[in-house]
Amino acid sequence: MLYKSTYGISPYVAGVLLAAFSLAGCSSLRTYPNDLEKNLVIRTETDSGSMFSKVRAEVDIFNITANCKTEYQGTVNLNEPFIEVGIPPDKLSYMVFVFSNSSFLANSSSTMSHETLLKARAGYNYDIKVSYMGDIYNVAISENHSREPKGRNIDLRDLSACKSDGVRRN
Amino acid sequence: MTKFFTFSVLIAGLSTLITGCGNMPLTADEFREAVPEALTGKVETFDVNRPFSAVAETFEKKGPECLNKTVSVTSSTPGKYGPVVSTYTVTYKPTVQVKEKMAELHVQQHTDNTLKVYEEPEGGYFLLVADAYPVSKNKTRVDLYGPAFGHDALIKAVKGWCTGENVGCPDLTQ
Repeated sequence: MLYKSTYGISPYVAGVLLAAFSLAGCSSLRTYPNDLEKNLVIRTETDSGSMFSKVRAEVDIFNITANCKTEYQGTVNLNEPFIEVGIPPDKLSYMVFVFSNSSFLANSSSTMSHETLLKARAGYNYDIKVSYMGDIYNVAISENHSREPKGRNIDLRDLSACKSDGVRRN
Repeated sequence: MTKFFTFSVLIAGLSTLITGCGNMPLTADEFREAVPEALTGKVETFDVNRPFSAVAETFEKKGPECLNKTVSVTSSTPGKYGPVVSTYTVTYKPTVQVKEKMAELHVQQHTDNTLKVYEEPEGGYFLLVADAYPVSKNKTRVDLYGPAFGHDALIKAVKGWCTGENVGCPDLTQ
């Protein structure tokens, strides 16, 4: 911003310092290890629709315990248009797609998240299209197998669906 | 943030300008009656080339998926002793009702920690109501009751769900 506070630093600099401080030690976010066999391809496209704002996308990945509790595994920054990720096969995972919007002019920030349970079947690959265009976002998942020419779309399911037997078996 | 604040002001204006006595609509029916009379309200009617069942199905799928959300917006403004950081938290509540010849989508919003001048219905003040009903086998008519200003993303998304051309979710912070 163009003004200076009485402490002699601009809010922008203060924000950067605060962000750096958070990232250095106080943030609970950590990078997802991504050391499993890759079974997801995440294609990301973001455009805030304004030259005065910027959108950042990332996905938080959780394991799901037998009693449907989440265990945070890490975050994948979706700053590339094409990223491969490995999640445990034949186990429920919980993915939280987070869109962070920063407006330079209004000096404001906001986040929207979109969550889904996903059980990646062994031998299958998953194509996840993540987009934020203007002020509309979308997450679409399709399941593919090399032996099956046509993939199938997977409906997004929230965490409450974990408790239903259908989701846990599927 | 500015849009966010603007809408809050519009919500307040909606009641006084329309109802006169300062009561906010407490039901979807009251909202439908109030919006056409409001300077800050708008009713749009349009037809889409889609079967009624497809529109109703999209409401049922996308309403809960996209609108059952709580969002926060943080802004920083200059203050005497440095930046003043404000955070608003808003909870949205979608309701979808599908009958044989009518599908309704209601959207309510509740803002935390704000002074409620008017009685607030359970789930929050009404923000938007969309009614879809069949015109012919492959044509559906939609009446959209909502704000005349602001919440462009929400309105754009609901129209996309009706046409089927864009079934994304609105960024409710915009």
